[in-house]
Amino acid sequence: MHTIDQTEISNRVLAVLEKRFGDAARTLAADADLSDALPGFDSLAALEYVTAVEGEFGIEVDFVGDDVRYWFSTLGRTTEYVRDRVEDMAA
Amino acid sequence: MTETVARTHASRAEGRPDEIPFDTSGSTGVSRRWFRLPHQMEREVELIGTQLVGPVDRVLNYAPPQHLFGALFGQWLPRMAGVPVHQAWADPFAPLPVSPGERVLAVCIPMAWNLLRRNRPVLERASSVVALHSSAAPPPTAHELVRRAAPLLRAYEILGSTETGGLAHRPLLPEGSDAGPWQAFPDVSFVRDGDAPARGPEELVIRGPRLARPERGTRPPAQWATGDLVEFTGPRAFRLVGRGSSLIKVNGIKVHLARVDEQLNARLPQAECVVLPLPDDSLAGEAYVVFWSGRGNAVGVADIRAALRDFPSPSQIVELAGIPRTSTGKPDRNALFAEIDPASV
Repeated sequence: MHTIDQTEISNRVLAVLEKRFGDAARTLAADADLSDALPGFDSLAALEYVTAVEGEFGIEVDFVGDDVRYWFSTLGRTTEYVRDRVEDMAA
Repeated sequence: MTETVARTHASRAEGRPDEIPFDTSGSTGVSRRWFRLPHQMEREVELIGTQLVGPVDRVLNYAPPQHLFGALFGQWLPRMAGVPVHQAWADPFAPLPVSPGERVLAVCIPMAWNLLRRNRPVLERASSVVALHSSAAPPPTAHELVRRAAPLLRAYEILGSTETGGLAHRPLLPEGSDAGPWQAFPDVSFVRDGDAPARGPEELVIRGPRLARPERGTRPPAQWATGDLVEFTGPRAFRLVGRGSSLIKVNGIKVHLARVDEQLNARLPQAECVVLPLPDDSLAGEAYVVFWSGRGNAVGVADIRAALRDFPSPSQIVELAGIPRTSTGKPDRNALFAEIDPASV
């Protein structure tokens, strides 16, 4: 069974951001706040980001149970969240 | 005298003290400023509130209030009705504050439906939920939620614009149902060409007391050509055929791009598709482009081509991770056209 490691997850999350935000996302630090680092990352863009990550990894984010604002505020946190969800699904 | 003229021009452009400015989104052209009066806002809230919404205890507003739809139902209606409003557009991830037994109004643009679907357990605390939807076509999730959450949830689409306010409405129904024609609001009247054929598309031109004042005018226009092509089905009802600007000729064949859009949505509900005319090219002639996102589903270019085999082919089919949208949920034309490879047009 193919498992994906943290680096692969991070690269795929970054690719999601690059498709929407181009060059600004290419140099993104893992701990940079997305709303500060990416021009145009407003509430609508944040929702699109979460939805695109769901599509990329085949997961569904729990908007009621999970702190979505926290987990999707940086590339690093998103990667951590996705890794946990993918591991949960594989378990 | 010159100073007076200058001041008059300035006050027209900036608005009089009691006027409320709204800018068109620019999604179908250059952004322009329009002004509305408080009594027009109140009239629209009362009209739609009485006819479609009924009494409410709480408003969940997903429409940014700098645009007319969000201002009307996310600011004016809560103020006039004296009920709390949750500005969900500003923080879509915040928990919805719905208390047991409340009658809820949800003010929706396309992105709202994904969030409402995820918050369905919260909505189920309410005794009733009415959703008003405007700004762009409802996404498949809207139709699905209306089916799953009936009879708790009923929903209506509002057709309108910054210039006109709400023009007409129709129910938002589960997928596969025919929502039927648009019904005009009672204070809207149609201006029709007496020589026009009884059937067939014609441009929708309206009159009404809720038309806004343009930036460069001293009063609202007597009538307004909406740019929509419609087929009238009754004295106060019509079907929307598309935008006037969305009727193009590809190799001599008329193509209503709204019909192309409908076909793609019907055949490929799992994909998100936007169809736009390409800027006219005197050599290549008129053409159109399909932007699409599979949203993680197994859809390919071959499926798009197969869905459109009844139409002249698009000149480009552009796959995107997601469809970029403006703050009101309309497809962001500038961002979409930036994705086109000019060499292949």
